[in-house]
Amino acid sequence: MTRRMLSPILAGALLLSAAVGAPAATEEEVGHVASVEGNAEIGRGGVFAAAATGDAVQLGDELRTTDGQIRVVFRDDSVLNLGPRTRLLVDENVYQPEQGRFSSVVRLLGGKVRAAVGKVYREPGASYQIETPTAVAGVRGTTFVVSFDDDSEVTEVVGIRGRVEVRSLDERLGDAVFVTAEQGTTVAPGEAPTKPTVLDPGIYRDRTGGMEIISLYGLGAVASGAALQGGSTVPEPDRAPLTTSKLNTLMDDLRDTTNVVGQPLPVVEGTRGRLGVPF
Amino acid sequence: MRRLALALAYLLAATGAAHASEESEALSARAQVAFERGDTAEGMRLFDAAVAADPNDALAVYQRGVAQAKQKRGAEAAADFEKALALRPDLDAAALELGILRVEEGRPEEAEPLLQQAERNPSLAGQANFFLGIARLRQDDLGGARTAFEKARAADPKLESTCRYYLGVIEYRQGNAGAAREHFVLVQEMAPQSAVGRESSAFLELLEASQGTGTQVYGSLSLQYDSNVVLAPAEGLPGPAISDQADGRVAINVGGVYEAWRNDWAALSVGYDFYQNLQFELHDYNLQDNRPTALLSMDLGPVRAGFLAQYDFYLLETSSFLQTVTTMPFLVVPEKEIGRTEIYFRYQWLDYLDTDFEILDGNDYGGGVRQVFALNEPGRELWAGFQVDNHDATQPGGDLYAYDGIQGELALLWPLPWTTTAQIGYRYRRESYDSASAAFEPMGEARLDRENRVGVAFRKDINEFLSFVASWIGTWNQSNKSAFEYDRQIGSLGVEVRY
Repeated sequence: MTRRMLSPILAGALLLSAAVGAPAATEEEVGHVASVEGNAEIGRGGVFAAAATGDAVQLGDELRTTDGQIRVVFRDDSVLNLGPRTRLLVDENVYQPEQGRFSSVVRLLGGKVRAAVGKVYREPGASYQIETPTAVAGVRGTTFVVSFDDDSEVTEVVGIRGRVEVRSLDERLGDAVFVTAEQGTTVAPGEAPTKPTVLDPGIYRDRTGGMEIISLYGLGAVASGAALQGGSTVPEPDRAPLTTSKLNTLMDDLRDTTNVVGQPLPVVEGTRGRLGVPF
Repeated sequence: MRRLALALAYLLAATGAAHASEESEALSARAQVAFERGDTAEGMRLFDAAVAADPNDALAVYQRGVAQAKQKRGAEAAADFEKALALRPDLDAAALELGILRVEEGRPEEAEPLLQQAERNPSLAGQANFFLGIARLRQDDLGGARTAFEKARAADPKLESTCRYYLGVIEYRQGNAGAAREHFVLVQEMAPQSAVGRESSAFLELLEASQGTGTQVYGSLSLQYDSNVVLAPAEGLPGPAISDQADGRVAINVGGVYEAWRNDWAALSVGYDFYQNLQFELHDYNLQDNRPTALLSMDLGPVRAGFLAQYDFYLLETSSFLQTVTTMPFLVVPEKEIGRTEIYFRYQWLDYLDTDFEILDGNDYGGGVRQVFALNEPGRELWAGFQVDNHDATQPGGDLYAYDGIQGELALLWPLPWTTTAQIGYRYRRESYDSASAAFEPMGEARLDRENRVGVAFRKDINEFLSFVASWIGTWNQSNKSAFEYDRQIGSLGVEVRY
């Protein structure tokens, strides 16, 4: 039902893109991976490959994370941070500054995404939407978090800055609601959005926490910290003191110097040294 | 009306700030892409632009700080992290990064509260506790460090091997040899090729040899074959002639080391070694050695130094044969990824108690350097050494046996599967004797010996207490004086125990 309602919209958008001479949807580069922490993949044509910082993101791509996070910056200056266990489809991205045409639709299939929407969407007629199987969140230059629970099929939208318009995917199910900073609303299957309420600070932090920073090099990576915690370097104070094997090496040199040809001492010298000593 | 205007102005200001934050976030993200492409200048320009777009965007300031730190601009990075924390005191990631910087700057006490803040954030708990452990280690708070490393490994499995290493270091410093060994063995298994893996091997060697753990006793029993037991020059010179007489024997070695004293940077160990071989047929060559030793070792930061003193008392059968006193100061210079350099000077006094051999009494002076190269895996090493030495006779007529020696050596130590280690080595030695040695046949020129020696050994560790050792040593001594030429092969099969 949901998909049937969505299809005409997408078809219209794609036709519009084609009409103004946009490249073929599946090859159109719409953004780049800005950073990745942990495991994240980009799916294209049904084939998924590990995502890396700098990778291109094309129209139609599916982004998914397992235990990691990924940050993508789009050509329209919108930034999406995907949390762990998240799947998201880049459905539409019209970016025509000369004509003043800006339109973006991404589809959240599960998990959580934080969106910082570029200022171009403040232009009249511009549209930025995050869709889930039960809801649509539309904005004009703001930051918010959308999550969709696969099991309960409930969508939750939490505002961080600005104002977000949230409605059920089925427009017949009541009016849209508007979520502002630190407010939240949920949309259950077949229901209208709940009335936005100001979230308890703890709940707000829980809903938005861990989504804002996907660091350039991973957290705790500054200076030599990464090498230290990765075990690829050991600072001098933490190293092993002089070992006896090293001394044995030296001591057996002494044995060698007692090698007085013509005396039985080589009997000792040649057979007493423990391994770790050449001779 | 005025109230309405104020409200509108406030609303516009608030909206402007929000827009600027989205702009700064996009610029930050573009900076990340630029950095990944290797365009550092563009990346920094974009980070600066992000901060300029919204000076109050703590995240942009934080991200720029990370980029600064990655470029080794510690002061600028710290300033950005401090600013980010001033803008958003709850920005735990900035507290973590600043805490790490403080640890690296040698200011662990300032790192502590920052890392404690980061520790309270579940997603940062692993890293924060790891660096809390390091900070406490630097402050000699071993108990606190242990707690932090335990929390770190529980919070982040990726930190397991590194935390295990530091837990081993703590146990070692507290004298808990068993617990330290357990940690180091696990690190060796988990990360054999990492720096912590290599250092764990070094600690295990240390533990095995009882340094810093109090007392160790050891012993070995081997069955040997010797192709040329009687290595004595020809008639008219001390002892019987080189006879090429082969024999088998049993060799027994028992010893122990006791650490008598230790402080933070030095330790004094004393030890005793007893050795006895029992020839199957050539009983006159049953040899006994009694060797007390004392070793002072010092950790002087970038250099380790020490002083070894040793006394040997030998008996042939039941007769006193030889006593020696040896002293050796040495330096060991560890080199981070390369290995280590060993430099030593040695003095030895030799006093033959058997009057037939008194002519060999004298002093040995020697000095050498050896470079040990670490080859990417614990226990895999290449050694290259050079030594010069001199034997100075003290008895009348002893100049016959005075010489200057040089030697070079090359050896490879290679771990094999099934806890087995192989070692192969080669040594070349040249001894130029005093002109008095021209008296040996053929007369006219001083004696010159050139010795080539090859050794191969395999050691199989059954457990931490027991090993089997098989070895072969071949020696070929060439001399311009035929009386001193000989070949010799020694094969040995033995078992070693230690506790």
